[in-house]
Formats: sequence, C-alpha cells, structure tokens
Amino acid sequence: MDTPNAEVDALVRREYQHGFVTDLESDTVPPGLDEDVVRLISRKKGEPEFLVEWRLKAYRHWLTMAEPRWANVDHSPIDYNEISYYSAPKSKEDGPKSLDEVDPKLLETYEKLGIPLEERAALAGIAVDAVFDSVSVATTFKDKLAEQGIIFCAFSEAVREHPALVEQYLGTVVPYTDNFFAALNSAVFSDGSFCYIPKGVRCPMELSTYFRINAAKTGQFERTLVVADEGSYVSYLEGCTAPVRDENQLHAAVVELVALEGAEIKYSTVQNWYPGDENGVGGIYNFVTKRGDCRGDRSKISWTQVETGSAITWKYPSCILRGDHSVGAFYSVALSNLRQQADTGTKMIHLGRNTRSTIVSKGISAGRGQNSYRGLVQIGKGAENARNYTQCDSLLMGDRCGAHTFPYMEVRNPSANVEHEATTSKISDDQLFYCRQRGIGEEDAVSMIVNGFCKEVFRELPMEFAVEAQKLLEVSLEGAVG
Amino acid sequence: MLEIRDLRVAVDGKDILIGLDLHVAPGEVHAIMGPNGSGKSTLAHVLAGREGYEVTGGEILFEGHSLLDLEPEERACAGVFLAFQYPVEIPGVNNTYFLKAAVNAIRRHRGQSELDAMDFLTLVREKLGVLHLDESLLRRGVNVGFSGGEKKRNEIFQLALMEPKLAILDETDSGLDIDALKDVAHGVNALRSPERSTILVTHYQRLLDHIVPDRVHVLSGGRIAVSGGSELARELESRGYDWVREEAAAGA
Amino acid sequence: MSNASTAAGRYADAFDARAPALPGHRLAWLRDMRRGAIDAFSRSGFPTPRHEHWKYTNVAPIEKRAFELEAPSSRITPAGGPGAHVPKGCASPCLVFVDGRVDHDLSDVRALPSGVRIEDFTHVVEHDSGFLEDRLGRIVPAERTAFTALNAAFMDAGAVVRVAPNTDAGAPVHLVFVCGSPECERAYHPRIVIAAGAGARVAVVEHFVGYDDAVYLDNVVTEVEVAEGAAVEHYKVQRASTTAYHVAALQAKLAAGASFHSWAVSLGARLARHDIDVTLDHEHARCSLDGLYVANGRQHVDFHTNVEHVAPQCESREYYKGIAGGRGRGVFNGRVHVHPHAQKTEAHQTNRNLLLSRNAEIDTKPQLEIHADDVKCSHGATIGQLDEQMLFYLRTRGIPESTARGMLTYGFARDVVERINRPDLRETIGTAVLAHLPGGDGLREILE
Repeated sequence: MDTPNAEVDALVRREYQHGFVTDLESDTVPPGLDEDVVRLISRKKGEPEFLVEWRLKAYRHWLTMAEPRWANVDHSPIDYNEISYYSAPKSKEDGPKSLDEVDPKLLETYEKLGIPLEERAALAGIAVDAVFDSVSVATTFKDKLAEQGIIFCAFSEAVREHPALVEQYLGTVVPYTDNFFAALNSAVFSDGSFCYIPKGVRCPMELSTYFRINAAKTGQFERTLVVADEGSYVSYLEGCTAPVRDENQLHAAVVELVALEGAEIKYSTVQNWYPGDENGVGGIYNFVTKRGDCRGDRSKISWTQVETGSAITWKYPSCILRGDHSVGAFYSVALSNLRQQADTGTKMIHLGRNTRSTIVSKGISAGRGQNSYRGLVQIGKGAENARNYTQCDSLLMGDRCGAHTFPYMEVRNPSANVEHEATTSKISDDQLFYCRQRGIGEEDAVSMIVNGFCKEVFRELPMEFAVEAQKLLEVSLEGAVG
Repeated sequence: MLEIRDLRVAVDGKDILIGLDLHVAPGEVHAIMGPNGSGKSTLAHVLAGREGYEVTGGEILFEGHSLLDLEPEERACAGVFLAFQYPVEIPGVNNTYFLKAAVNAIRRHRGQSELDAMDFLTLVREKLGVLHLDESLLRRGVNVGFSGGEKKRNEIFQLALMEPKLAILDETDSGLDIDALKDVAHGVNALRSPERSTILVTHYQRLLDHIVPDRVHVLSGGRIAVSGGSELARELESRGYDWVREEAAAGA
Repeated sequence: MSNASTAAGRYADAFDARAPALPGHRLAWLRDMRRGAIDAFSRSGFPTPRHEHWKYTNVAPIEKRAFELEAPSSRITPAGGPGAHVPKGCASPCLVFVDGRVDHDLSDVRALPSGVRIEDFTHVVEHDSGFLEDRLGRIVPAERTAFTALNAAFMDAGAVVRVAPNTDAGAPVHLVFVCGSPECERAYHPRIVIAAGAGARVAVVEHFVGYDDAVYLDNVVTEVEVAEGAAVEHYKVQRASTTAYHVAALQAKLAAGASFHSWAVSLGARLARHDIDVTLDHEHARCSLDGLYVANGRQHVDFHTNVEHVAPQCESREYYKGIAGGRGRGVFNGRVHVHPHAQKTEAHQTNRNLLLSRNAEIDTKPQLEIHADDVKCSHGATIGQLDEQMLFYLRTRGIPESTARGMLTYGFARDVVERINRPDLRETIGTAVLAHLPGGDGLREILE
C-alpha cells in the first residue's frame, strides 16, 4: 500500500475470517486420477450403472481435452494427479440419520461460519444442505418440503432415491463435453444438492447449500441440479468457504438449472472461498460451470452472485432462453483484492421469441487484483423481439489493480435490441473528503460508496444474504484504501 | 367528410373503443373531449393508421372510401393529417429535407408539380411567420432539441404546409403557455375553410376558447357519451366529467 | 523450397521470383526487411477464426485465391478510362494510382505549400531511402499480422506524405487507388507513410475504388507519425468493387501534445477488414476515431480498433456506426488498453449498429482493459433497428415507407458524416455515403 500507516497496515494484514481448519478424521482417496478412481468414487456412493458409465465417458472425454487458456487469468499449471478426488469426514462413513448424529465438531464449524442450521435455520426460514469437502452432511427441513412434493437433498441421496429424475436431467444443460472443468466434474463429482419443485408449487422457503473445503490437497467437485417443473418457483442460495491453506485447491463445480414452462428459478451465490494471501500464496481455484436452461415458455432464471473469495474465479453463470417469452438475468458483484483474479460474466443465448435478458455486473478491483467481465449476448435467427440490456461497471481502488471488460454481442435477428454500457470509475478524493468532512471515517466512507456501487445487485439477494454480502465486502476490502 | 360507424378498437387484447359513431361534415370543427384514458388518443391514432391498434369492428369512411385499408402515408396523401401529442424526435434527419419530402409526396399524389428549392423556401418562410417559428429550426433535426412549445408549433406549421382535408389535433394544447396556445389557435383558425374539417382532441376547454368548435363530443367508456354545441365544453369546465360518466352508465 | 500447395508456400515462391524486381532491391536493409516479413508470413500463414482477432472474419476466401503479384504487361483500360473512377472532389493535391502505378496524367502535386512533400513510394525508395529506413515498419511492425507481413514483403507502390515542422499543408491531400485489372486477379500492397513534423497540420484522404466486377485484393498499410503538437487528420473512403477484398492496417504513433483523427467509411468490397491502431505513449496526446460501415448484399465488413494508452493524461474517443442489410455482416471490435501509470486517461467509445434484414448479422465486442485507477473510461454498444415511432411519424406526413426507411437510415449515419472536420470533404463524402446506403437512391432528389 502507498500509505505507510500502521492502522491501515494492520487492516491489510487482517486475516481471512473463515480460515480455521476443522480437526476431523477424513476418509480421503489418495491423490491421482484414473478410471479406477472414478469407479471407486461411484462405488463408494453406491451409484447405479448409468451413472458409472456416464462418469467414465466424461473421464475419457476429459483426457482428450486441454485446459482452457483464454481467460484473463494467470496461474501455475495444475497437476491433476496431485489432487485427491474424494474426501469425506470419517465419522460419516455410515451416514448421520439426523442432525443429532452429525459430528458436533462439524456443527461447530457451521456455527463459526454463521450458517443457520437447525433452529436458526427455522428462524431464517431457510432449508440448508451443507456440503463438507465432498459429501453432503445435513439437510434440514427435508420433511417439511416433502409435504409439498419438493425434493431437496444431497445429490448422492437423489441418485439413490430418485434415479429416474437424475437420469432424465443430469448433463442436459451442461453436457460432459462442454468444457475441460465440466468434463472433470462429470467424471469425479462427489456430491452436491439436488432439488426438484413439482408442477405449480411455490417453494415456501429459501433453499440453501453451504460448501466448505476442509481437507488439505483435496479438490471439491460438487454438482447441483435444480429442476423447476411447470409453473413452480424456487429461490436457491449457495455459500462457500474454505480454510487457509498455503497450497492452491481446486474447486470445479457444475450447476445445472432447468426451468420448465412458466417456472422461475432464482439462484444466488455468496462465494467466499479462501482468496490466498497478499503475496498470492494459497487460495482456491474456483473453476465453475453454471448454466440455466429456460426450457419452457415464460420461464425465468436469474443468477445473482457476490464473489469475494477465491484466488482465481472462472465462472459464467448463463441462461439459454429457449422458451418463448423466457427471461434471463445476471446480477454480479465480483471483488478482486490482494492478488485475486476474477474472470467472470455470463452468456445469454436468446433462441425463443420475445425473450429478454438483463445483465448487471459490478467489478471491484483493489490491491493487485485483476477483475474481468466476460460476457456473450447472442440473438439467434428465430429470436424475434429479443431484448438485452447490459450494464457493466468497474470500480478501481489503487493503481496496481486492473479492471477489464470483454463483452461479445452477436445478433442475427433484425427485431432485436441489444444495449451494452460500461463505465469505469474510482472513489474520488472529493467524495472521500466530502464524507470525512461530515464526520464519516475513511473506511466507512469507502464501504458506503462501495455499497452504493453494488446496490443494484444486493437488491436482488434475499434480505439476510444481502446483509451478509455487504459485510463480506467490507471485510474483503478492509485495507484496500490508502 | 368523415363517417365513423360503430368503431371498435382493442389494444393488446383490451377493448378501448366499443362502438364509436362520429360524423364530421366538410368545414366543421369537432372537439372530442373526455377524461384521461377514455380513448381520445386511440381514436386519433387509429385515424392516422398507427400499428398496434386492432380494429375489431365498424368502419371509417373518409370521403366515402374506407380509411382502414390504407397505409399511413396513403392516408396522409389522401388528406388526413395528425398533429401528434408527442411529436417524435428524429436525429440526423434535417427538418427542411423532411418537410420538402412530405410536401412533395403529397403534391405528387395530388398531381401537382413538385416544388423546387426556391419555391419551397418561399412557402416555408411565409408559414413560419404565422407561427412565430424561428427559421433556424429548419436546419435542425426533426423536432430535435425543440422545446415543448416549439414542437407543437412545428406540428401546426406542418399542418399549414400540407393543407390537409382533415386535420386531427391530438392534445395539441397540452403543455403550452398562453402565447403558444394563441399562435396554435391562430394557425388553425387561419386554415378553417368550407372544404377543411378539423377534429380537436383535448382534455381541457381552454383551447376551445380560441378555436370555437361546431360540435363537442364527450368520449366515455369507449363511445361518445354526450354531444352538443360549443356550450357543452363550458359546462364540462364547470362541472367536470363525472356527471357524464354517470349519465353514460345510467344510459347503458 | 517451399510447399507450393499451401498459401504460405505459394506466397514464399512468388516472393523468391518477384524479389529482384521489387523497389529497393539493392538496399540491404529493405531486402532484409522483406525477407524477414515473408519468413514471418510463412511461419504464421493466414489467420483462421480460431484466432481471437479473426473470430468473426474468415479470410479463407483470400487464402484460396491465387492473386497475381505483378502488373500484366498489356493493359486493357475499362470503359471511360481510369479517370472516370477518380471520385469527385479529389482536387489538387492529388496522387492517383491506377492498377498499382502512379498515373501522372491524373495526378496533380505541383502547387504545394513549401514544406509539404507528396511523393510516390517507389520514388522515395530510390532517392531518399534514408527517410524510409528510419520509419518503415517502425509503427506497423511487419510481423503484426499475416497481412502486414505480406505488405512488407511485397510493397511496391504507395505514397509518402511529409510535412515540415510548423507547416500547415492546407487543402487535404488525396491519395486515390483505382484498383482491379480486367485481365487477372491481382493483389496490391500499397504502403503509405505520413510524417507530420512538430506543430504541423495535414489532412490526408485515402480513396479506394475499383472497376465493377473486378476481383482483387487491396492489402494496405498506413504508418502515421505525428510529432509533438502536430495534428493529422486521416480520412478513408473505401469503395472497392463489391467483388474485391480489402484489408487495411492503419497505425499512428503520437508524440506529446499531438492529435490524430481517423475517419473511415467502408462501403465497398466483398470482404473488408480495417485495423486501426493508435499508441498514445506521450502525455497530452489525443485521438479520435470515427467510422461508418455498411454491409449489404453479401458484404462482410470488420473494424478492429485498438488504442494503447501508455502515457498519462491522454484522451481517446471512438464513434463507430454500422449498418447491415441483405445478407451482410458487420463486425466491430474496439479495444482500449490503459497501461499501468497511464493516470488521468480519458477513453470513451461508442458503437451503434443498425440491423436491417433477417439474414444480416452484427457482431460487436467493445473491450476495455484498464490497469490504472484515476481514469475515465466508458464504452457503449447497441444493436437495434429503425425506430417504429419515427417511421410512423414520417409516414403520417405522406412519405412512402421505403423513402422513410431510407431517410432514417441516413439519419442514423449522418452524425458520423458530420464528424468530418473539413466542410468540403463532408460534402463530397456525404454524397458518396448517401448513394451507398440502403434506400439511398430515393433520397438524392430530396437532398439535392
């Protein structure tokens, strides 16, 4: 930092708040990947034949692919044989039957994370599925949701209990051939969440998944599948944290959303994986494929993300607007401080008639962070009257960070209206001085201005998460000014 | 001149006009009044041929021929002129070019020779003076950077240039100060003739102090609820529209 | 020897055959430069859509054709003679190239203000090679793209415009390239060098026109050096035959306080690609880049701009508009790169597009890469169609729909034309633009 101010210095050094390690005995597969490991993962989870075969196909395809290099990020090569592809807390070998059986240390972990499990979940009106390293450890409110026919459970459980649904939808939005990391995930995914909302049902509470990477040298490859049947509605949240470790850890998740006719899915993410330290040591490589398919007419998918963590983020939550009158939205706050690199954005693929999409991206760069927005708006030949509006703003704090914008617009229908705007700004000295003259401290003034900058996105988050996101942003930015 | 019979119009599937009858003879000035949302502007737009208005029944005869089959420019050439409530700004299209294109399109249709640049400019200058419009407006884009008053004066200026048979003024008085209102009224009155009819669509009576109508109609519930002479406008001014609505409801 | 079955091999063989006849063959530095360039091309070959910069523009049709690299011995002059193809308004000073050679009858560079030199490239190579040795390839490196490499290897025509310090060159300098040979499919590699001394002012207009139905390749490289406090305006009117290919790289390097204005309109060619690069590596330099592209029929037109903000306190503005009708495709890629320490940069970019038909396509990619915080940068891009309300308004005034569409299309393009600083050019170029717009024919009578 420019100002050798002790206070600021202390703030800069303030540690990652969620960086504790839970001391648990784990059942971890030795590092390395081959067909046997894929089979082993599948066997450990007691999966049906179709899934083993699918995983193996994905693995074989992955072998033919090369790691993508086009993102505006820079990292040392990942040795895929150094990673362990499966890690489960050992005491969970036989699976907890209820929350009481869950290792108290685990529950303590979630408490430290501020996850509203148990009663707190009830108060918050949230059903939580928590994924610890690779396996799902607890799902609350399952019974209550089941009364309405809503299935919300760990992915592995869905494979056992609802194999037909899984087989029907798995890989239909993100095929295993999609990209390098999606192929890898398809081969080795361990767990994740599964959610099915039946026809006409409005899910009465926010569904939520918390992911945490605990074990060292493991990768996390969770898979989430949300299917909203005709006329249904669901709001889904995911949060992520990981302990401080000085080697990089790989997180390569896949999220697939399917919205059938008239259905609506709101998917919100608050991502706070360990970002590494100020020298760029450690941190999560967050290489995620998220895609929603507005398969039915008048369906709607909206992605909201607050990305403050990870050493490297590479994700483009996208919408395929297949149904007529379908609507896609992407609201994003991405922060890169320290030496973080974020290359994130969205794809809006307009195929149906009268489809609409909105993109609001707010990038904040501080320290030596590099923040890139990369987006594609594509209007197909048959997409009559398609509309897109994209707004893409960057805020720069300090002169060693970077903010980049790579929007692609491809329009093949003359009735389309596509509009893209991007601006770059800094927190001006005048703004800061004005606040301080009115008695507001510099840190507070900065967080006020940053929150104002992000308001349009926070507005899209459920209330309690908006508060959390705001706090996260403050913590992540501390010391960024000076 | 204009004969509207049982006109029914829907917008986005919603019925706006549900059986409107109107007869305007040559040389007459008719005022169409009514509360907001009664369908006044819909009528104006349907007469001009705006897309998005679905005529679900009835007919509109202009000089004995159906208007509904004609494209907007064919209606204009036939002599129907709409002064817009919100004149559209067209950046990049020079006002002079635009006016010349319009005047000559109509002259061609009437079998008259097209005006050359000199004759056109002479005509334009003559009409501009009447409306107290500055000549500099001609060099700007169509309606671009015009004040609200200038836009409305510009509409009447076009009316004067194009000399239509039927002029429809859609809320031309809204947002005008008294000087502009007088200029507009003067412009319209100057064009009154036994061959030319005018329909004034307005919410308020004040324009009618300056342009005295032959007939006043009150639109309510998608049809004409009450008709009368110019005294009806004054009655509306003092009593408001509620009684019309009540009477219409009682009548229905 | 090279593999003649590949394009790279073909060009390498052609180079070996043609090298001794190229201008300046006796000059070692130029020989080396050409050799280096053809080697670079042999290594890279033509780009494919896999290259990010060629994602939307496939140059395979250029690669497939075996263009002739030298002028045929006999010349058949098309109807009306080349003079008929020189655009109206190309007054003195004017240098006209017909089929790759200066036509002295059509050119007129006699009455120039003192301190202004406008010369044939080959003449400067022969008589003042020192000037070129210091400049050629310094602004546009040969290996920048496959096309700049080919140009560096084969350049055999073009112009050198020099303006002495504190000199105002006055009337715009017209460089007219009448291309296309009725006898064969030719490739032209003109090189243009513009050097404005400190405090000098000059406007240069490049015209590219072609004979109807002629198939040829223009592969142009223009290097612009703008010394301290100098101001260069560069205009380009691309009206190549709609059966031809036009690829051009224009790059300017600006000293402190210098200003550069590029204005380009792309109307012709089956496939046109314009690369415009500006490096702002000294303080208080300014550039504005404006352009209009029209893709009709089966035309494909691509503008790639790149502004490098290296020094602090520089300013760049870009304003590009595109119109795609028929089966045309318009591409825009505008990159602004703000380097670390380029504080107080101001960079604004606008790209608006009009998509007029079902089979047309517009692809646009405005791109900002920013590494400094005290900057004001923005870009905006839109793709849309003619406004229905405007159309209705015009029609209620009796204007037929097709004329109304033409007027609105011209209205869309007009503000780009208005960005031409010189009134006389605005007039002549405006008329040329109008004639090429969809529905432009019907408008001419109104605008006379």
